[in-house]
Amino acid sequence: MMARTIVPFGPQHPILAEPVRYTLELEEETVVGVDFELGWMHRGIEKGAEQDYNKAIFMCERVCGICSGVHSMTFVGCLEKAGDIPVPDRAKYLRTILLELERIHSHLLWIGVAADAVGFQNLFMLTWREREHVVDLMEAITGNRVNHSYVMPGGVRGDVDEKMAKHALEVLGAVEASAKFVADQASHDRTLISRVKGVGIMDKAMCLRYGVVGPNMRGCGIKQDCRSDGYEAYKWLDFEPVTFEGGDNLSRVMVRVLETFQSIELVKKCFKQIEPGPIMEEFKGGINGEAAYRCEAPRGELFYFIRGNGTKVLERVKIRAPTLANLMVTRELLLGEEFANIPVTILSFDPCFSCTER
Amino acid sequence: MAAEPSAAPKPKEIATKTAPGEVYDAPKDLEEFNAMAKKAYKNGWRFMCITALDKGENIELIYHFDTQKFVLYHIRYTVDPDVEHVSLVDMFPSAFLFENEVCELMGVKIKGIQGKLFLSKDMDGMHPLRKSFKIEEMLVKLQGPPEPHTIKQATKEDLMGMAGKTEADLKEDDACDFDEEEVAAKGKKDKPKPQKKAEEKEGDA
Amino acid sequence: MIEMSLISYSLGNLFKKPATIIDPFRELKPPPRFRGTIILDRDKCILCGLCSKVCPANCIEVDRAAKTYRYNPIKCISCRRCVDVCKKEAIKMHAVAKEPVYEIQIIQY
Repeated sequence: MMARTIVPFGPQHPILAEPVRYTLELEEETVVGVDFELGWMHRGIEKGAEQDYNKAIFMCERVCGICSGVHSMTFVGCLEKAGDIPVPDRAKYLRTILLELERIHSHLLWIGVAADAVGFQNLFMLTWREREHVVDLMEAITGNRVNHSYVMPGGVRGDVDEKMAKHALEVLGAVEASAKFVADQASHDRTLISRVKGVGIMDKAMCLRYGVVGPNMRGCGIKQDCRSDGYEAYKWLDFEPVTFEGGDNLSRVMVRVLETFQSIELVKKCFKQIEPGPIMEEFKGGINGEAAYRCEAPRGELFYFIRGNGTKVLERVKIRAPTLANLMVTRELLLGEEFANIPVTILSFDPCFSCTER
Repeated sequence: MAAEPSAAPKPKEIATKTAPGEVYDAPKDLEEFNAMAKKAYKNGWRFMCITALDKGENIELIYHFDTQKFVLYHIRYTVDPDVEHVSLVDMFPSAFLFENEVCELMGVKIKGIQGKLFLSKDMDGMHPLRKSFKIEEMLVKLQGPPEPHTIKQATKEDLMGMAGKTEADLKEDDACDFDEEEVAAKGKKDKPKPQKKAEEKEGDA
Repeated sequence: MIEMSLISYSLGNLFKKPATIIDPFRELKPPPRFRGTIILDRDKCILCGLCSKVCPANCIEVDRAAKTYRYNPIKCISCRRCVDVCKKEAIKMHAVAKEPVYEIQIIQY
C-alpha cells in the first residue's frame, strides 16, 4: 500500500501570476486526485457595472490588466448592437490595430512567464525586452500602457497621424526581426523541447466535450476562431486561423508563437489599407434592448450579454471570460501526470484568474 | 424596437437584437427544455454560459450555445427560486462552474450543486446579484469610516502641476517625442541640467 | 552549431549597453498623449458642473452657491472625460504622472 500525500499548489506560488488553489493527491510522484478552488480575485464587477453605461466602460476594462482593450471592445460592441449605433470605417481599423497590438504583447508576456517556469530565464528577459517596445507604442496611441479607455460607443477617442504610423511600422519591424531570432533559437533548444513535448496531451474528443476555447483548441487541430466572424475590420483583412496538430504542450506553445507573427502582419495590413475620415459619431441616448457579443481575446473567446431598459442605466451585464471555460478540463488532464509536469501543464492553458472571477 | 410608453403596472417590452441566424428559444415547461438541451447535445454544439436575470418573483435563466457555424443559440427558461431545477452536468461537463456561480450569486437551486465558489464564509445566505441586495450597506460594513483628508487651497504650483514652471515650459513638455531632430535638439538643452542639480545639492548641503 | 549562437549572443550582451535607461541626467518623458494630472484655469471656469456629472470616480465637487471647485487627485483615474466635455476649455490635462503624497489633500480652487 503506497503512501498518499496531499500537496497544495497553493494561492502563493512563484510561478502563478494570480492566486488559485489546486489540491493534489499524490502517490509517489504521480497525481491521483485533483481539486481546485477559486475566490481570491472576486471583486463584484458585474454588480458594479449596473450604472450609467458611459461610466460602466471604465469598470469593465479593469476586469483584467493584460487584456483590458478587448473587454472594453466587447462591451461597446454589445452597446452598439443593442442600440443600432453606426461606426465609421476608420474607427473600425483603429480598433483592430489596438486589439492586435494587445495580442502581441499578451503572447510575448506569456512566453516569457512560461519560460521562467521551466527555468529558462534568458528567454524571459529577451521576450520581455521586445514587449516593452510594443507597450510603448500603445502608450503613444492611447495614452496609457494598460487600461486604455480608447473605445467609446460610436468610434474611438484619438487619431493616429502619419508620423505616428511611420514610427509604429518601424518599431514593429524591429520587434519582428528580434522575435524571429529568438523563436528560431528557442525552437532548437533540446532541453526546452523535451520538457514540453508529449506532456499534457489533450485529444480532440476531450476538447470538444469540455468546450475548450482559444489557442488551446487550435492546438488540437480544430480550426475555430471568433475573428473569422468578421467583426470590426477583420472582414477586410483575409484572416485564416492558425492550427497545429498534436494536442500537447508543445503545440499550444507553437500556436501562440505563430499567432504573434500573424498579428504583426495584420497590423501592417491595417496601416496600408486605412483611409482618412471621421473617427467618432457621438451617441447620446438610452439603451433599449438585449444583445450578446463575442470577441477573440488573446486567451480565447470572450462573451458579453447586456440588458438595458431604455434609460442610460443598464439592468444586467454578464461577462464570461475564456479561462472559465478552460478550467474544468485541467481536472481530467492532470490525472496520471508526474508531479514536475504540473506547473507547465497548467501554465500552457494561459490562465488569467482575474478575468475568471471578475 | 418595441418600447411603448405605458401605465405603471405593465412592464415595458424590451426587444432582443440578434445577428442573422441567431435564435432565442423559449420552452414552456421542463420537458420541452430537456428536449432542447438534448438537441444541442446531439448536434455537438458547444456550451458557452448561463445568464441569470432577476425578474422580481422569478429568475430567468438563459443558456448560451455555439453552433460552430458562426451563429449563437439561446434557450430562455423562467425558474422559481424555491423549486429545484435540473442540472446539465451529465451532458456538458463544463456547466459545473456556471451552475455553481448561478446558485451562489443569484440563489437558484440546482440538483447536486452546492454553490460555494466565489464568496467568503461571512456572506453565507446572501445573494449579491439580486436587485434587493444593496451594495452601499455592504461597503459600510467592510470599509469602515471614510479616510481622513485635509482641504488645501490651490496655489500657483498646483495650477502649473509642478513647481516653478511657466506656460512656455508646459508647451515644451507637450512636444512630440518621435521626431529624431526634435530629440537631438532636446539633448543639447539637457546638458546644463547636471550643473543645476549640483548647485542645488551644494545649496542644500 | 545553432545552440552556440544563443549562448554567444547572450555572452555578447554582457558587454553591450543595457536595455534599461539608467542615465540620471536625462528626464524620461512620457509621450504627449499620456494621461496625467488635471489643471484648472479658474478664470475660464463658469462652474456649470458638467465635469462633475461625467466623472466615473466622483472626484470633482462643484458648489455653485459657495463658488468652490474641489478636486481629489488620489481618487482620479485619469480617464480624460472632464477634458472632453468642458465647453469653455477651462480644464486641461498635463502629461506628467501624479506625485505620491504623505496625506490625502483635496485641492480647492
